[in-house]
Amino acid sequence: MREVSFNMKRNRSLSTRPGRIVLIVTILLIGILFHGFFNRLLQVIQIPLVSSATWITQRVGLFQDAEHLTQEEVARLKELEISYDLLVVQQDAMKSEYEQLKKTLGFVEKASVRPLGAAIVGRTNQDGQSRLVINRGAEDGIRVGAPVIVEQGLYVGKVRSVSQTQSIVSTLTDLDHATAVSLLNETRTIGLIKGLNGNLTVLDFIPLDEKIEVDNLVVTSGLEEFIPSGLLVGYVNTVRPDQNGPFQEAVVEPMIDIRRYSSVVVLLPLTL
Amino acid sequence: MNKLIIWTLIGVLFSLVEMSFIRSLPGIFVFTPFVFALCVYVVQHQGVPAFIWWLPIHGLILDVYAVGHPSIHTVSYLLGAAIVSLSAKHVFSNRSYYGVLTCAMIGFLGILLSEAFFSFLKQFSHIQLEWVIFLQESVYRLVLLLAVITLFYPFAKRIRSVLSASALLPEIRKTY
Repeated sequence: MREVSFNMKRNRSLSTRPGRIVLIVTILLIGILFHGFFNRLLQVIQIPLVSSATWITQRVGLFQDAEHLTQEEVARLKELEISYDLLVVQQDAMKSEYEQLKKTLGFVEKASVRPLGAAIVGRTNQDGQSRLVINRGAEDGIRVGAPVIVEQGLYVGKVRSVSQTQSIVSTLTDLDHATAVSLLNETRTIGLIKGLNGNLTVLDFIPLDEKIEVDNLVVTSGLEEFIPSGLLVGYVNTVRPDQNGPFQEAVVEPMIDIRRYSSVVVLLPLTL
Repeated sequence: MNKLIIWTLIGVLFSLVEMSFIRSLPGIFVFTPFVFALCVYVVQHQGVPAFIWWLPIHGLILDVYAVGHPSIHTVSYLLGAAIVSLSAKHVFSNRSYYGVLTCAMIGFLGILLSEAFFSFLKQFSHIQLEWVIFLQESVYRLVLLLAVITLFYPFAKRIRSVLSASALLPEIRKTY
């Protein structure tokens, strides 16, 4: 009887306004203290959600690609195929040269980065923001500024903030994002690439005497901490004069559509 | 009190669906304001005003995940919640299709205006937003909002029975 009356009192105390506030504050405190555990718990739901929607996006993308290939695009693909073959030949030659140099100098190859796979658990692409939430955090060794790639070195973006169990990645097209890059033109133009609304990026403040052409490849320059050189960023889509000064700017189209990927790779320095 | 916890958990779950699933969809479907549409529908058409708290919770989750401008989604969604709550209570008291749509549009315009205001402020920190694209995205979001609410109507009875079974529907609403 005494127990019943105690329970009734407890229920009554919870249904009052101060009781509710105490409960909400308690829940918030538990949430803050154990946020790592809750993040891991929520990721169990989030990973299949992202994977299933990415699967849909991939299928729709394939369908659209097949639908919209024009004669010009087919011709361009053929040209690219030829230049790819030439590159393979050049690469072979370079490989043997590299082997010789390695032997001559007694060079011991050291990989300077450690790849870490991560699943995407959330995204946003709104109001100029293009960010990903990944299921790896400080306890996996991730640091702010670490580069994020897909496949064999296609640059996605870099880590913007890190919590214990997950991290936020700002992708190339995010308005807040900037990465040091190099153009593969004659003069190897370097600069900062920034996000531009509409899934594009821009490389601005390029002196007018720099010769830039459409389809020039853009890669990371390696001048930024943590980000190695040679990660593929995109290719030049448009070159236009800067209306505010004696410069030109190049609109760069990213190599990848990140919505077609449900996982990424974070590159960490070996020292971490 | 148990209901409060259940509502909160369901709200969190729907926020995750929007953030993880919908934002990975192709084309313009990434702009679908699923949580907002569901919230307005349940608050006004099903008559459960307590569900309005989903909106600030959704904003809070977006800000906690830092996928939005810092502390902006919470404020915007709180404003949207206030507008929807007041409109549903005092202006569009009926549960007609057009009433729900208008209430949703007014609430969402509040959120969009709030986001536009914060985006304007952000320009002072040298981050230029292209307003044409902002407007374009806003139109997509509004159209998708109306489409999603329209999609809920054929499932009205089923949604009501789920709410009723989980004791989330007020007694007064179980009669019709």
